[in-house]
Amino acid sequence: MSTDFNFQHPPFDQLEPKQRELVSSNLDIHYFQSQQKIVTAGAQASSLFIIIKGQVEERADNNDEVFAHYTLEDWFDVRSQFGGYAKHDYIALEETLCYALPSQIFRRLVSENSDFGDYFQRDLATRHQLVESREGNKNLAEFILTTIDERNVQPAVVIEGETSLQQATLIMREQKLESLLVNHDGCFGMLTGTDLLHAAVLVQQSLDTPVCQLANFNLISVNKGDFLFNAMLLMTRNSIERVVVKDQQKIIGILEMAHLLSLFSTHSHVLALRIARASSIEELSEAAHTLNKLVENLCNNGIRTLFIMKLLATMNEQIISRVFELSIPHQHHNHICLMVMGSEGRGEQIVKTDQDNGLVIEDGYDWPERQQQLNQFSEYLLELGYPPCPGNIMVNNPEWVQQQSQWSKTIANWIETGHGDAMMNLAIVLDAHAIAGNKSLLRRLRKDLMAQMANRSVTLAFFAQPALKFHTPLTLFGNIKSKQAGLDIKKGGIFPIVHGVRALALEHAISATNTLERIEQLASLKVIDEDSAANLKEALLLFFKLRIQQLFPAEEGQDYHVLKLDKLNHSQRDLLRHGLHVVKKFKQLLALHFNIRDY
Amino acid sequence: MLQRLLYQRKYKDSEFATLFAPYRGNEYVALDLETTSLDTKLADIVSMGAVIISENRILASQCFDIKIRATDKLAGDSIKVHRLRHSDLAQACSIEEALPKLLQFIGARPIVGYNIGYDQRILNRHCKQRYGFKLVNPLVDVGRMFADKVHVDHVGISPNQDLVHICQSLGIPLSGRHQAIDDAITAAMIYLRLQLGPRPTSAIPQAISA
Repeated sequence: MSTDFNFQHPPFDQLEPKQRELVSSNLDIHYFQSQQKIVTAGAQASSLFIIIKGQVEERADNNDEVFAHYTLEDWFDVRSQFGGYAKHDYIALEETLCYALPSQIFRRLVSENSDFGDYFQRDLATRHQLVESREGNKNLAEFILTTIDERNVQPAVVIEGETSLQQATLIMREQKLESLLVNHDGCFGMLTGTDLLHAAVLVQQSLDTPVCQLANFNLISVNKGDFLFNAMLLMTRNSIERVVVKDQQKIIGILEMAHLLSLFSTHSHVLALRIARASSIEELSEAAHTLNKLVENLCNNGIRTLFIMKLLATMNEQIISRVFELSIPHQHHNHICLMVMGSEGRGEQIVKTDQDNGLVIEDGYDWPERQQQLNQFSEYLLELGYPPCPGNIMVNNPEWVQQQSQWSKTIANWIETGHGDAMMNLAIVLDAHAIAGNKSLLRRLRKDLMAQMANRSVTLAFFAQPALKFHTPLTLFGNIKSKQAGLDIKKGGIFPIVHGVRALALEHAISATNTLERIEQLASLKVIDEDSAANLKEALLLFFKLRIQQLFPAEEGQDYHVLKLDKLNHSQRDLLRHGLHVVKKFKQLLALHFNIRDY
Repeated sequence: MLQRLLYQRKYKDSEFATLFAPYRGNEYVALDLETTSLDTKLADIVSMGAVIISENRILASQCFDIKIRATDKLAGDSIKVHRLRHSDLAQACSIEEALPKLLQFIGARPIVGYNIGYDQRILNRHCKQRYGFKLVNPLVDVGRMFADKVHVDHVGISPNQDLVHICQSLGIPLSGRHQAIDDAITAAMIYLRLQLGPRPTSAIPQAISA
């Protein structure tokens, strides 16, 4: 039959034509009156419902807790499709028309089409994330979808068969390789570190033995464009550690089990290796640009926000410290400390953010060519796609490059000024995180800052005030308020939490810079109670997540802090509303705590 | 009624016996035909769509959806309406094969449709020609049903029975027009909505913006 079922709507867009046919020919249409119970808690599911029109509410069976609302093109109840029982009641809030897809057909599609199945698995996880614990590693999707290409293959270094055992060992050490390819009369063999060890230590071969006697010439190969997953199966089946990757008979590299395993926890490992191995800014640039791809890939595959942020923070840190090593000669490293600030310092960025960075120099350290080298550093970062900071908080700005005692004075000045820019600068430095050079320099600076701020409650109140500056976008009746342009989640949700938590962390001399960690420490110090802490963390993560989802697919000229509410489905809007209420409550707590009256 | 009893006796041993048996079930069939012209005396059937309505469900997965092989009457004008070309119908079956299947599908259930009288007249003409009987199933015209139920501002104003208007005021998605099966499903949705839902008003509901 030709129903008008919308196959453009994910995840149904993942279905093959044959599978679409299967769906089309098995859909029934059900009509429910307002307040009619569609699914009763405890009942076994017979179909998956997809709403054509109307609204459905999910409630606990004692009717006092609402879990979610569903509307146009949402589906329910996925949980009970796999032979389980419905956990909650589903009630039509208004007249509702639904497509009904028989459960056994749905299960068949899930088992036939992994993309389709993954989507539902993830949907389950996300839909109930404020209710249920968020367990489970969602990296499988990314892993399965990845094909073999230059980006995930280790370069193959080919040596001649006559090379001696000793030379081969040297090459491996210099190039930081696990294995080499041996060319013996046009025949290729594999030589691993283990082979060399075995030959030299156990069999006690002389150091000038040609490696062609040691290499293994029964190579197993995969082709470029194959799925990583298959390569992994191949290795597991043959119990080997490496395979050779060919591109039409030509060997282009080696794929190692160790990497593949790390790919299970994303491509980060390979990327980290490439960053560490980059010997020029060009190579680094390649790695840096895969970072965006990686993030997009992870987002589109529903990987947890927290995980993406951690990963990105780590990767950015590695890239920036590598740039630091490439642009500033080694002899200075022990006398200076590079710090990143802002969201980068808190480890909360999702895109490559502005270059918020500064430098602490040991007192009395003489470094004449520093300006030129620091300019080079900022220049390189620009090349790698890190935009300049609008507030000019960068190491090529002398104001953010100071000796320790100078920094101490600067901070004292800011504290004395006690309002406006000075307070914001204080906030920025408070989030500073050392990533290269002598990290103890920053530790001392932070200690100094905390000591200067101790017992200055008035300054603290001024410091905390900006957290209350922006209005929480909720109406008098507790619904979301949004302008035509959308809802600025940074002003409305993220900043109040981040800054409020920052102020509390400053007050209690907590040295962590990540907001979630600060919240945890505040909770363990009993500054905020466990429940509020959990809610704050959930709300913040939710805001980050909604913001991420806006990024892909990115639209031209969009401000990614502005949420388009019409793009959110009902359950997301519900969660957002809850999150904003948490913010509102938190702001009241701050106002009380810091005695801020004109709020 | 009398007609049904007569037919019941006359056709009791034929394949059509079920059509005239007293109907005890609670199901309905929504039906729509696409035809070559609007003149019931001449029109040929191009495609047939029918779907069973059971309680609050439209059993779209077991629907009846058949295209009829072209006759010379498939003229240019109607092709524009439902976009079935001769070549599309080449795969279809002949009216002689399709009609008994359709009657089998409908059985003695009441027939629901938009302007269903028209479809009935065409079916009657074909049945009369080939088998000598007319359909005796009760008819439910959803346009009429809407007009009866809709709340109008003043007595005596005749309600708008246009299909698009009905769908808009009931908030029923209307798409895939002029495919027999889609129109049948639309009619079924209207029927369920009117039968089970609250009384409609003549005002078009404003799209609710979130």
